[in-house]
Amino acid sequence: MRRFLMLMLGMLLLSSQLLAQTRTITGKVTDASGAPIAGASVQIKGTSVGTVTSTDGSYTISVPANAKSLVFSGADLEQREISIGSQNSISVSMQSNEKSMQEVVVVGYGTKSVREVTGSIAKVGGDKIANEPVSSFSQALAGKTAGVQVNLSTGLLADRTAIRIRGVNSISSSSQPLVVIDGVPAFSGNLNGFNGGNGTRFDPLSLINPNDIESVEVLKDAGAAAIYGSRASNGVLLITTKKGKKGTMQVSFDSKTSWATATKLPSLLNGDEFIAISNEKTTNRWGVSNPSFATPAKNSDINGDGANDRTNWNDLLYRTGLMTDNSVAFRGGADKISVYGSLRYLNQEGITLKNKIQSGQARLNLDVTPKTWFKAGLQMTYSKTLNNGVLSDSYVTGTTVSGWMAPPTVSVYNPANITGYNLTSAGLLSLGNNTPLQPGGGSLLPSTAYYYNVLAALNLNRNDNTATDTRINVYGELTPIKGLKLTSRFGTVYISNFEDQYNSPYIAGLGVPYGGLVQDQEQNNNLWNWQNYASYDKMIGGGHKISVTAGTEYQKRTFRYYYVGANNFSDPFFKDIIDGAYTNTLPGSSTILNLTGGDNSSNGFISYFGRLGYSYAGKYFVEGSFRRDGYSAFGKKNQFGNFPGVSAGWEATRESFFPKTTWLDYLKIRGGWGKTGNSAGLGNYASRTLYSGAAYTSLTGLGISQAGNASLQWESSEKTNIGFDANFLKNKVSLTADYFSTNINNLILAAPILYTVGVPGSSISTNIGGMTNKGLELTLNVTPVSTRDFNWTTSLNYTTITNKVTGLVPQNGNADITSGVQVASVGKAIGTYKLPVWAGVDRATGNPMWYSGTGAIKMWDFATQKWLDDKGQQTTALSSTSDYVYLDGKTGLPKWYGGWDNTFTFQDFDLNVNIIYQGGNYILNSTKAGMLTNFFSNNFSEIKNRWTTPGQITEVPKLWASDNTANQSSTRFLEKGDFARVRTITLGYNLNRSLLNKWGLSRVRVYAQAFNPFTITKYSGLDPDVNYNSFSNIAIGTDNRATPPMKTMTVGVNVTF
Amino acid sequence: MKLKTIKIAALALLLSGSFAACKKDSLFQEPTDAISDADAYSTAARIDKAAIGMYDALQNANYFSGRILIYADQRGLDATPSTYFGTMGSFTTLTSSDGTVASAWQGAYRTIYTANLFLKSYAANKGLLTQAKADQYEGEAKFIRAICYWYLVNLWSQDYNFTADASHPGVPLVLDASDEPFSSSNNLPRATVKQVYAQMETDLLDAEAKLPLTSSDAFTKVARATKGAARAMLTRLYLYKGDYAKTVTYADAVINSNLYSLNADPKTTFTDPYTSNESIFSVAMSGGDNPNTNNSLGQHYGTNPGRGDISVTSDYVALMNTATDKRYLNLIKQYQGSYWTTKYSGLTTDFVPVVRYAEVLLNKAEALARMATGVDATALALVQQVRSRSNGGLLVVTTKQELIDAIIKEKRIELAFEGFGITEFNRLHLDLPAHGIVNAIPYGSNLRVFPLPKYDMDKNPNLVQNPGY
Repeated sequence: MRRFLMLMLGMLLLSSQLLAQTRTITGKVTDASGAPIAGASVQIKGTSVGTVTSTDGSYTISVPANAKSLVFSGADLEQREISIGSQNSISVSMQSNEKSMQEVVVVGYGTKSVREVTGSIAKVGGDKIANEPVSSFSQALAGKTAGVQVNLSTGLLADRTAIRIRGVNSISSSSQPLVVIDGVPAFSGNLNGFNGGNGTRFDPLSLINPNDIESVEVLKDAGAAAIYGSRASNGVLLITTKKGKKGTMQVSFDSKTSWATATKLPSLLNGDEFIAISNEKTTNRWGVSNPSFATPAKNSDINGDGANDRTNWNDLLYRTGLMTDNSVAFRGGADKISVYGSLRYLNQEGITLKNKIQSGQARLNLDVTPKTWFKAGLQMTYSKTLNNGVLSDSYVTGTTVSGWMAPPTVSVYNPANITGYNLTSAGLLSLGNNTPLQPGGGSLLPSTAYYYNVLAALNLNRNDNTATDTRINVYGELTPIKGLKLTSRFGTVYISNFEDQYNSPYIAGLGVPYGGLVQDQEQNNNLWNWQNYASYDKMIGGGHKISVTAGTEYQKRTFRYYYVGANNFSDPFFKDIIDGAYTNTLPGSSTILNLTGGDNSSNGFISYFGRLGYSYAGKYFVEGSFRRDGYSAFGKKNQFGNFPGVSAGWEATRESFFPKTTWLDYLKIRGGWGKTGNSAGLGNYASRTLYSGAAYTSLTGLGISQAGNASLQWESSEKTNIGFDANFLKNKVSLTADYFSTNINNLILAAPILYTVGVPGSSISTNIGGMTNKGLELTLNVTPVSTRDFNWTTSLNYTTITNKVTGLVPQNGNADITSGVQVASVGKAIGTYKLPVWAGVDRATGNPMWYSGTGAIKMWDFATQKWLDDKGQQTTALSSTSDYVYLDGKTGLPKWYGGWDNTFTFQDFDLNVNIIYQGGNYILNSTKAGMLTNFFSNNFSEIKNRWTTPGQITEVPKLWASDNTANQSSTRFLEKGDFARVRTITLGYNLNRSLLNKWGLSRVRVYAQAFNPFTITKYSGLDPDVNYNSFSNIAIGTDNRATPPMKTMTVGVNVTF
Repeated sequence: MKLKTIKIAALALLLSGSFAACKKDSLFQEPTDAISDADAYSTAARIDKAAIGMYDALQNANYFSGRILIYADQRGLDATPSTYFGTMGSFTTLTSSDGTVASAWQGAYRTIYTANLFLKSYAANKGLLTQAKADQYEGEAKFIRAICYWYLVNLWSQDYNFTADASHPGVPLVLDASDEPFSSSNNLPRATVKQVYAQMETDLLDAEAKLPLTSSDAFTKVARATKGAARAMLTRLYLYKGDYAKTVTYADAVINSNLYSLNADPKTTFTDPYTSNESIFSVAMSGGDNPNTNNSLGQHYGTNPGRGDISVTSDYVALMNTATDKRYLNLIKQYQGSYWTTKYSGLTTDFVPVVRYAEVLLNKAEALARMATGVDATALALVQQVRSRSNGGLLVVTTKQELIDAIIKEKRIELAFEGFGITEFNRLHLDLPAHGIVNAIPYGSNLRVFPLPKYDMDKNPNLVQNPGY
């Protein structure tokens, strides 16, 4: 590149010599403050003759007699044209370019002007994030920028949020991006530990006050992200918190109140329908020969009110959740000090009964400049959050399991029970007069653990998490000589979570059998991070600009948890671990239970990084970055990895030969390539051979628990990006387009080992698989109307992406890796569905039918309990090896997604409408499959379409008690996931300035907002955007009983003094 | 200006000074929740713990947790086949994809790996140990390896005398813990049955030489390997080979040690604390060792409490005089219309009996009976000793064959549900008669041995599958 530039320069000089030289003009180019501008271009209008200013801003140029004017331009500068006239000396003061061009973006270990950016970086302003009533800032990134896709797991408060930057980048590791807050890596994942962390999932990113965020930069390609080395493959989110602004002092007060309801709740059978459907299930199966088993569903009067019990469980379990969110912030600065501080109290109720978050958050950001050559500062934040969790999906006691399936014909309450709730002595929901029995002694229930009285469980049990989050960063910055900065930054993160689970002795599961059980778990995450780096910016005569950054980073993280428990309490009064109040034995037993445990582990990073940037004349930009990362979790043979990135940009519109048009104002072409790694989700000691405790009765011993792989390393990702930024029509329209191609290798997979070798688990984590992601991103910003009274700005982004798995485990014949009914299969997109194809309901018999692997009909005949072919002959059962087919192109990952944001301002009013959309993906509606069950259970009301009469055309087969063959996963439950959703509509009114002045206020804004008000989709499930498996790389797309997200109405006021 | 330079220099120095403070060792810490391989054998105490770790491995949920005894008995006549263990009990539908059989194979080699790893790793640190301890650990490792191979070779291969020179396929002999698990050097072919027996013999003889005679601690005497345990296993090994003289030699060594005796009640052996003088070697178990309680003998054989997977056949009950025999009266119960053994009534705490004194007496009896030309009086006395203990009645035999048959029958009654169900039929070249829903399986049938798991067959080109699978 450098050679190319020299050549260009030579050509310029050569051409200038061909012109007649008549006169020499000298001068100086300065900025608004009078400081010299180096590297600015000075050109004779209408020719290619020109020069650039030297370091002191001066220039000398020979102009022919016929030259009319000189054109001054430079990076970030507004172009100026000065007529020459008879002057011999022309000095100009140049203004910074139009607004978006002077914008600065945060990059790894520094900042940069947008104009100099050569990688793919998107910036999301903090106001866009704080605008949404979501429990984690990460959720608010949905649809905000191209290349970023966000999916909730459920609508429960603070549940984990899957963020995918340019697709899924891993199979067995995490695909979550690295999150860096004010330069220090943050924890993402889950703070919850009991039940494998799957009880009441708790995202640590929800502990960050979104109002404190100034901006979120998304580093998408290797040009931007390679400086984060072994953690950059999934992209990087750089969160920058607010700082004080010099010369102002403001106090602002924000208050909002909102009311949340479910976007959609399932339609369930009412009591009469339930009785009819339940009895039809059994009558169809046993009616003729066993009349005594024909009518298991009967009316009951459990609450003793003299009327048949009728319960609409959804009415009791879901509510309008009230949220109040109040914060105060002060922000300002004087000569040598600037400060930002905030305090927030959030009280948010979820849509599910008992689900609630109360959080207090405080922050202080302070910057002092005691000397011109020394600057220091700190960022401190502390928060404490109580998260009252509820169990939902994956628990029989969950609101979306027993809550939806429990008969609507039994009461919640029973005054005769000691608790007042309708409970059996085993702690389950009493089914009253219902007789869910089948001939031969079996039960019609899904299992003996059904059903829980979910309302009783919510009120009597407890699933609380109390998290404290303390982050303190301190930095110092030396400027020994002009252009050189030495920075040292030390950051600490301490997040602890106290998990407190109580099971009442009146509730089944862990309650009744244990005589009441309290389980407490304390989890401590500690991290310190120390960065030292130097950066040097230098203008060299002739328009050359060099910037260098080099440094080191050390990080250590320790993780510890321990748990204790108490059970068999002397009285239900005791709900905590209280000395003497419990025995820790099973009721009636004298064997002491061991309810304690824990773990303690750590990991460390040692990193060296550097970046070298060179630009010439504000037109040519080249940058190379490098990181050498050492991570303790990697195998000893591969503990350190090198991650280079290069990128270049060319601002074509700066070239004198570029045709001047009235419609194109700015065009920059960018390209980059680099290598990054992924180590997210890798266990701290994943590469080690380990000996763990191995007891032989009461003898303590040591035994091998893991065979290591000393070569285990990062998953590596080669990223290529080509794009351009262009502004049109006087910068009213801007378009950014990027094509990206990611080639991932060394995916960490469990490679199978011969059983006869004998290593633990017969597998070892090994770098073997491969995958590619390719796609296109487009962002269009337009200001269609811009007048004094009325403004309209609109921004549309669109991303399309395709994935292909290129390699799995050769030692295993590249066999598919399956998760649920989705696979990673070589040559196909990750998450491709493999399912039997549904052939509909046989009109004559109401039996369900599928196609075999060869396309023949396989019908499950309820009456004979046999598989039949289309001729009525017995055939083999649907086989997962021969009848499940790859549904090529149908995966759980959207093929395209994006957002559309519109802001209108009219005088003192502002209106914002934000829309998000995605599609091309398929959702397996397992929720529906489960809720059309033939067990003795309430059903989705869709079951009313069941087949009843020969000749009837329907998609719901004949009912047949306890037989769920028809409800197995198949294309019957596979649906398109396309949707467009109005994410927010916000209407604001800013108090008139004259009034403000009168009252001594600087700003008052009142607003009303609708969040998730409506969604356009053909998906028949609850919500196409929320998915129980959103975190899974393969099974993403299989939804199963996720709590629907919230639809919220908010009113708020913002007052600034 | 000069002062400024000094200040900056001082600050810069401070920074660079603290760079050095960041040592790699403090950042890249050794694991705190597990010991790394380099340290696992670094002291005498740790080697002792690693030796105990071999017994932890021996408790493998799919092997010596008791499952392998069950599998041998699922294919015999005394325990009812249960679908809980797949299709092994029905013989005909068993395939190489069977998960239960594959897990047992995997569990065996997992246990062998731990013993091999111990032998390899402790060797470098032998100097830390007294000679007695070093010998003991080595003996224990070899004993554990030998008893793992016992079931491998007897369930996955035809019996020793299936071919004249025992040259038919045995199982791969893995005698070293591989440092390179992915290497093709691990693709071992099946050794012959003769080779596997020779290896077990070598290991047991070496163990017999190195192990302590016994322990004053009742638990250790039974739950860890001793000379007696190795000798007792040798009586079985030689009997299965047909080397009767050596069977007698090692049986005498056990008997003459005067450490073992029959309990007055056969139930005592199977009662907490499971460490009576009749038990020679058992895999000890406690509730804590059975994290998955679905794998204990008590869960499967026990009922109320217990899963009650395996009931006892009436064929077995018919072998005894149910009016007098304590093995019926004290060890069989009736529940919900079926017979159940009460040998394992501790739910998850029953020790897994590997070898006990009654077997040694019967092994010696059979060896003597077979070597004699007529009715061997000592042999008759030995079998009567076992029989009388349980009030089984007086044996009257007139010919050598009658005596042998009586001993074999006695053994079937005495050692039922202790892992001899199919191995005795194979050793004696007897046809398995039709029983329950299972058709007759003649001696030599391909179905009488387990298939090698498809998982290993797919990966190791040197393995040859058992015929018929």
